[in-house]
Amino acid sequence: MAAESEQPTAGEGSGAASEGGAERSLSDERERVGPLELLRTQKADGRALLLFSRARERP
Amino acid sequence: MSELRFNDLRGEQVVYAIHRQDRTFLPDREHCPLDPTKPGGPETEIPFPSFEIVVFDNRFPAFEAHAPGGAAEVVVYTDEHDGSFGTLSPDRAEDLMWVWRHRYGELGARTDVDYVMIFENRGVEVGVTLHHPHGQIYAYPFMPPVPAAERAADERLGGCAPCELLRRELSDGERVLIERESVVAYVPHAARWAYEVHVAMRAHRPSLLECEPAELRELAEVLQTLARGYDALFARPFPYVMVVHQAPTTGAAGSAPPGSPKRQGHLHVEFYPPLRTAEKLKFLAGSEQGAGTFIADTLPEEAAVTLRQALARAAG
Repeated sequence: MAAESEQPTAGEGSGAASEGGAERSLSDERERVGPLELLRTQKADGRALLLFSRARERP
Repeated sequence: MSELRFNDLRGEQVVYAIHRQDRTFLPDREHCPLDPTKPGGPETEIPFPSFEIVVFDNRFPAFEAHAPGGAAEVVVYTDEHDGSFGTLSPDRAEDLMWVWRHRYGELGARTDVDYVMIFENRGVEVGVTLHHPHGQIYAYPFMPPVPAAERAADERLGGCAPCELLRRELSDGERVLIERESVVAYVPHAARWAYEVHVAMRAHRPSLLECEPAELRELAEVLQTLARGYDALFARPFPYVMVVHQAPTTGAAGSAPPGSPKRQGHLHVEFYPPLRTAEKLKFLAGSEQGAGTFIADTLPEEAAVTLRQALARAAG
């Protein structure tokens, strides 16, 4: 499942735009949805993109 | 932009979404728009090299907020192209229940949305255009005929119809396939499709919002067990339409908010498989289309026996 890549993966949210064109900005919001973490962002064409990932304890 | 027209003779809305004519159709393996975007690879709908579950606005929507109202979303279950809902890890399937719950709650809270329908079409036999494991969500700006018929059944049966039908199925027992503490799967007494199965919450739960975490986990487990049993039935990927039935939402006339005792609806998931044998499809032809009456070739009790054997093979 985990990508063997040093690029930011969905949910890790460095704040930088990815190569694929998602617009990541300070307006990105994170929410807790049960056991999941939701990151709201937008695609380059303005469509909403919601990334759900298993919430992990952060140091 | 879609257009709604009311078909007065049938008493139902028809959605004209002519832009969908040009939607992506069975792309080759290397150009799946639901794959992650790999470094140096083609850009897909998901601009990340990996992900868990992603939801985004459909590029070719039947419904949009500005016109005619509502929404159309795509739910991608995994970044792995091969596989199916049935082969997801149990944790991922459970996570999907939370995603469904979140989308139902958020879309359903909109005043332009009367009904939220979460569904999956699986297999080219039901018109699938992308093989990557995914489902869809339609948020309707009107009450569609099927949930309206379910509410009419509540009136006819003098209470929650799915509660009463589940009580009858458990009392009879002949068509019950899977029983868990909070979830039951059965072939309905008057199934329309040869291998139709309903998966119902044992307790009255109008929607995913009213479910306890343990119930969501169990629902995921039963749905996956059934999906794997289907694949074992004819030893081939089994096509189906899977639809989550829940309470009408905020915009619907007479709707009540989550938690209200007046809230109508009962969470259950219906599977409509088009195969009637390993090679033969059930077509909706004269009687089904012209009269609205299904002619079935298989008795539900016989289908239940066959499906129980398939479930045992899948578990073994």
